[in-house]
Amino acid sequence: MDKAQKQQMKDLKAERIRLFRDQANFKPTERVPHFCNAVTWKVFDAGESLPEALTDFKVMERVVRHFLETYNVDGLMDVGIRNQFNVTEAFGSEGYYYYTEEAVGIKDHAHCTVDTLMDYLEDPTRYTWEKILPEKYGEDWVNKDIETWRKVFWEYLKYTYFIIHMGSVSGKEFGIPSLAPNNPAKGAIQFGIEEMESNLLGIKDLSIALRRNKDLIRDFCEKWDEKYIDPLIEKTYLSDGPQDDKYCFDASIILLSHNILNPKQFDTFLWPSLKRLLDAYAFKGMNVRIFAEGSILRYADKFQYYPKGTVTMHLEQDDPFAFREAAPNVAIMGGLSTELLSGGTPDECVAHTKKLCDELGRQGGFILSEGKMLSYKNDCTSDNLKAICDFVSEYKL
Amino acid sequence: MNMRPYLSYPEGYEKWCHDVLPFYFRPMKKFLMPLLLQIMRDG
Repeated sequence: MDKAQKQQMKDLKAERIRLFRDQANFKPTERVPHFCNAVTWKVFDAGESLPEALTDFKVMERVVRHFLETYNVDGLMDVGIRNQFNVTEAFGSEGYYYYTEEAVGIKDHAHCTVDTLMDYLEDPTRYTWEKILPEKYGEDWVNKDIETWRKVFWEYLKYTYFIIHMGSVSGKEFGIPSLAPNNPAKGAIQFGIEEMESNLLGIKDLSIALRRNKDLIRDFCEKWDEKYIDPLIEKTYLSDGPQDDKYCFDASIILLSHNILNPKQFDTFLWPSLKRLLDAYAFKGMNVRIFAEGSILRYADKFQYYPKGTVTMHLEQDDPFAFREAAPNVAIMGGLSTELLSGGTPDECVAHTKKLCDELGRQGGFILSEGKMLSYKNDCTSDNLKAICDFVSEYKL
Repeated sequence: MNMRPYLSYPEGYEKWCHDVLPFYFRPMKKFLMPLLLQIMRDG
């Protein structure tokens, strides 16, 4: 790339960040931006093999380049760095995640029981070292030699480099901005109830514990907050406010547990922590993107009390028009279902996208995105995504 | 050598970190190793 091209991409990236920020802040923009939620679908679309893409960084880079050269999107949720298997494969034993020719899957697992939850929280590293890893890998754990671990470490370093490299490829060569500043190395935002559902207890045991061990679960959530959420809140209040020039959002949160919580449980185990954090972002005038897996429509009113520009709800399965009615102050990200993207025609996709832009985006407060992560081969057709990208990049509001 | 010398905590874990990390990465132990453990734990 010559100097002029580099500057062009830099300007494009800045323009896209401005579009995302303005829509999130309910400021009318010239057009609606599209933050594409394509994950492993990109691999199939590029004609590559999923097992190869998940274990070979060169293949995955080809996949991402193919996608960005083909589809004129403004943002991309995954630049090829999710679900890479090179680190765990170097270890040589089966983990929870696995892949086939068709998909990436995860086996049910739980790191704790209700009796050991607090032990985990007291010292996660100790618990991981003494309990989780020996139980997960069984005899393999004891039999691994230090040379194997050194290979694992090198793969880990290569993975870290790949993450940085792909951020650079997408940003500098294609003008694609980063979603938000939080990343695993800095400590991604995770609430206690979410961690219990995803890793510590699993959906089944958490559902039982919510009824039988309510006090313990509440105690765990409070202590989790003291350890992980309170420092984040303090950091937010002490921050300089929005990072307008670097990221599309100031934070990104993923929520799943609301799907199994009844309203009383939601108010007890999730909302107090989430509210205190959102209060801090609202106070500083910062934008938060919340990816609400499943449906969060029944809790939409909770978010309505925040000023416009605080919350952008990325809806996985909820109807965006119904959500706008329920929470007019909340910006919406989403609108494109896999049913439409896979089963509709390009004309139907464009008509639906036009309706979304006209009805939700004209006054600001809407970012076009796919609700579900595009993962399987049949989640979308190339013609449909191309038609949407061509339309939304040209359609003036 | 298998994992037996490393099974205890914190002594075994610290020795494991020391033996796995190349010399020039050892100052970054507190930054690098928790994420590696997390990958091995959740992955």
